[in-house]
Amino acid sequence: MWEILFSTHHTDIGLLYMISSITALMLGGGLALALRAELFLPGLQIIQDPTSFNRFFTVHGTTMLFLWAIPFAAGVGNYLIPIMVRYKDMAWPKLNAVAFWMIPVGAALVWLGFSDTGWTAYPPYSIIKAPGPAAEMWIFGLKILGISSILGSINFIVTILKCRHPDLSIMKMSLFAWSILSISFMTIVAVPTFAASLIMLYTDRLGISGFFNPAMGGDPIAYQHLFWFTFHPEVYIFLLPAVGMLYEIIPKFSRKPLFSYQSGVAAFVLLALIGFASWAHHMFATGMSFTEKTVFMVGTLAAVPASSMHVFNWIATMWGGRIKFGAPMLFGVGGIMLFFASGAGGVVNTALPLDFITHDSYWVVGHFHLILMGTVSLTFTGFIYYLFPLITGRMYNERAAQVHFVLAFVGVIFVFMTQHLLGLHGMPRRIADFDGTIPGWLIMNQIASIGAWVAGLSYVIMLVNLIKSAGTGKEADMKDPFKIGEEYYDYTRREPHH
Amino acid sequence: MTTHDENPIIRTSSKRMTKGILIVVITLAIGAAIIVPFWQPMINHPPASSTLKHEEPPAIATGTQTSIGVIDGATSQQSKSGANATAGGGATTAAPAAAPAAAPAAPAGPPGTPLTILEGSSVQGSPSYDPAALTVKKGDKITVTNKDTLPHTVTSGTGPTDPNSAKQFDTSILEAGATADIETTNINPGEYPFYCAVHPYMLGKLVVQ
Repeated sequence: MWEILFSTHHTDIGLLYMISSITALMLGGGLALALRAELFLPGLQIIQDPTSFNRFFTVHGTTMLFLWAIPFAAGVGNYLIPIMVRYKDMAWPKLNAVAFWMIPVGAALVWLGFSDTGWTAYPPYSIIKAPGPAAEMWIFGLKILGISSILGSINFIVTILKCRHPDLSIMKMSLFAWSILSISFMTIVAVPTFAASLIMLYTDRLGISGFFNPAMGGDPIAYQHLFWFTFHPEVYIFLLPAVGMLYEIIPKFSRKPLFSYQSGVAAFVLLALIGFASWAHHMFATGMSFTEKTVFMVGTLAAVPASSMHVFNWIATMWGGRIKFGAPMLFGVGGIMLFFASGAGGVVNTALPLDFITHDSYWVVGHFHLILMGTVSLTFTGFIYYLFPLITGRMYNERAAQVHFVLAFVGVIFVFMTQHLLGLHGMPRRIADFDGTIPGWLIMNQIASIGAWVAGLSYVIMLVNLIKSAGTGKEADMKDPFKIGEEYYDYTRREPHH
Repeated sequence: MTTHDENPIIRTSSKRMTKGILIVVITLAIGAAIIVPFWQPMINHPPASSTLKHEEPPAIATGTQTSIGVIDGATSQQSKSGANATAGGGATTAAPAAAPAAAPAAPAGPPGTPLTILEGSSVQGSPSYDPAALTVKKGDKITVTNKDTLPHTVTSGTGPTDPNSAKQFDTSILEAGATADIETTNINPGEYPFYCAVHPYMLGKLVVQ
């Protein structure tokens, strides 16, 4: 560990990314379990005051999105992109190291402050009331994390487009590389908007400007537009690496070639474009005109065909294959199933009239967790197992990994499907306490909490499995560690060129 | 440290793994040692913008309106009551006769029977409407004046759950100091309870003869 801290080699940076993101997953998960424990019973038991509850869910959200989902994808990209494009390293190794080392700094700012604004930091609360220095630290932490992901994206784009082996055409490149390429372009277009609005938020807090301050003639809704212009594309930035990973896992474990490479590429490009046409569907309740709402509703629905192309591609690849259900494949298939479920929930959300019923309720919480935890995180977890032999040269314990999958899958369904129902029963999100006498609320909250603990337990099993196997696991066959008769990644196949 | 020439796969040992975990755990422990004692101090400072002084809107005329007069304070365009500001805007042009009541809620013409919302009436249990039971003749005008520091309404009905709430009369939101008129021309004789839509425990009764 110590020897890789000062390295600029892509596998070392990739490993650092993964260690830090798995650490963040565990810490953020710990916060989530505390939140669910608080909501097990009405009243305040575990977390003594609502402000602390707010601080918990703010840092939980920020951690999971910016310290787990994005860095993990960047870590896997660091490991695999140079291998896939057959180059000796990333295009700019030192920039790569700088991009990584910004993450601990941003993480420290977010965690030491523990802001209470919610991860969206909507004004006017965040500019006239949210207490400092926590909120300022959150703003600068996010700023640093944003710069880090922009630097990482530039590096990926240049590596993929300029350092690719001359014999490898872009339409022969792996689909995972395509997913990293599309999210890198999306990051570069989307993130600067939020970076600007963070500065506006900060000067508004200082009282020297009033961009979002109604008392000074500003408009809080303007912030929401700027925010979601970044963060709706960001949803696809979370999702597409998982999609790319599924394209790695599924053909290999189905022992069949991919059904259609071109449709995968087309769907990546489509999603990267359409991701920018739907941001205001987060804001249907802010009093937009009917025309605006219709435009964004159609823009959102336009993502359905592209997503379905991916799902169809996976199913068609699995169809008739001799599937080996190793842990990565289990997580992959589970991720696809939950992708379908959360996508269906998303179609309900985006339908204008239904959105008003589900807005700001637990339905929304269930919906986005189902995609981020159910699809993105489960697939990422499967990919941790898939890359484990490549990183450590050893095999993990397959039985423990399968137990992990079953518990995580059941836990996720218990938590987030129940939260959909809770939302329909009217429970608002972001509350520390609830009325246990309302029919259904108590039992559904308890089911959700138990599900969360089951999922939490499953990730403890994973952590123990990984740590133990990395030190003492049996040595893997580096040509075909999963015994599926398909080729695995090979460092030595790279032919450095200039 | 990995170089470009060697295979980066390190089959690590338990000992090196423990060392690596220690580095992570110690870092986290240092973080926790900072977070826990500074848990509260981190949220002790409200933002600078919260201490800014904003210009208070000038006081608004309180129902002392005569038939066609320039009213003190109501001339201000910044006045909170949009209806008052419109009426007053006409008045500043020194053509008082041309200043129409722009909105139905704006008090215009001679003041009617007074109904006052007392100061402090937002506190549950304290007296709210004065008089609590108001008796007028059909066709009389009632001028409601909000002397409290908070917004209130005079809304017909027994409370927010009354299905016929606001069917007979409703002043809508009256900001602090604002006034509004209730016309009783279209109200049949009888007893009508009313309440404040903002504070439903503020109750009163109107008797139309």
